[in-house]
Amino acid sequence: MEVPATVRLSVPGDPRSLALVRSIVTSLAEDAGLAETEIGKIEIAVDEACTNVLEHAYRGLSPAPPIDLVLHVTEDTFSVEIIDHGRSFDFEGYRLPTFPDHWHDGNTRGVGLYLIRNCMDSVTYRRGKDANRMLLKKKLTANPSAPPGGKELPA
Amino acid sequence: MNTRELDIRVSRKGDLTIVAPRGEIDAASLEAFRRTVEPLCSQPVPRLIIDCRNVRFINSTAFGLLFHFHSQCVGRGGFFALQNVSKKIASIINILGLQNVLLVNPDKDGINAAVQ
Repeated sequence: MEVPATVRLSVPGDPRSLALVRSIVTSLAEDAGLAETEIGKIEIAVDEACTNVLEHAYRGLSPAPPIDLVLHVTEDTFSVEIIDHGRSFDFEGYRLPTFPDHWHDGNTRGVGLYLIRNCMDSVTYRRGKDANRMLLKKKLTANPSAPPGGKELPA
Repeated sequence: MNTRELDIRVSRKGDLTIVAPRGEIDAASLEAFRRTVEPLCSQPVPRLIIDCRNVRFINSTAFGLLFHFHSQCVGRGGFFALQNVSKKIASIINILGLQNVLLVNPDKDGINAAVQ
């Protein structure tokens, strides 16, 4: 793959689109030379971001708008921007769950954003009039053995 | 549209029930997975192994569901384990703090200990 490389796609706002999105993301991450576990983290982060769009931003919308994605690979960064056309959410107000208490308290949901934040090196969210944009970045030079969590997240 | 069906095989080995999904467990396939596994967890003493050798992806809601199934089985005096979990999926289990809650990739001794 020649870098920088950019892939743009627009998929229907439907859970059945998620497999296609994951397939493209993992293929590009493999080409970028990322380790298997790092590819898995990007894959689930993007899936969770898209699932949140479907379950929250697009809740009650019929037909649901599409989800647009821009994947960009440079020599040192793998980034995915997820663009939705629905309701925005309070990104800064989200309280991270603590584990394993979250599970023992009987919760089975609500960990998508936690996963996104812990699987990526940086996560930003921008509300817009016509679109909301979540930008996920993974450093290609990041140490894959670094423990998750505790990272400084840009506002 | 690229959709990948989730195929789920259920078999018995002694008093163990082996559930072997093939595919990806995500927002599109989660309900099929729930519909298959939930009744198995309602047996008098459920002893379930989820064989993950052909599972390529599990989303966060499905991990929550696995914890729920685990609680159901253990609460009924049974047993619930994930077998043949890939390195990629295991790393997500660790991030979610489930590595010390779910029984993941137990050996025979681990299964025997859990069953007793």
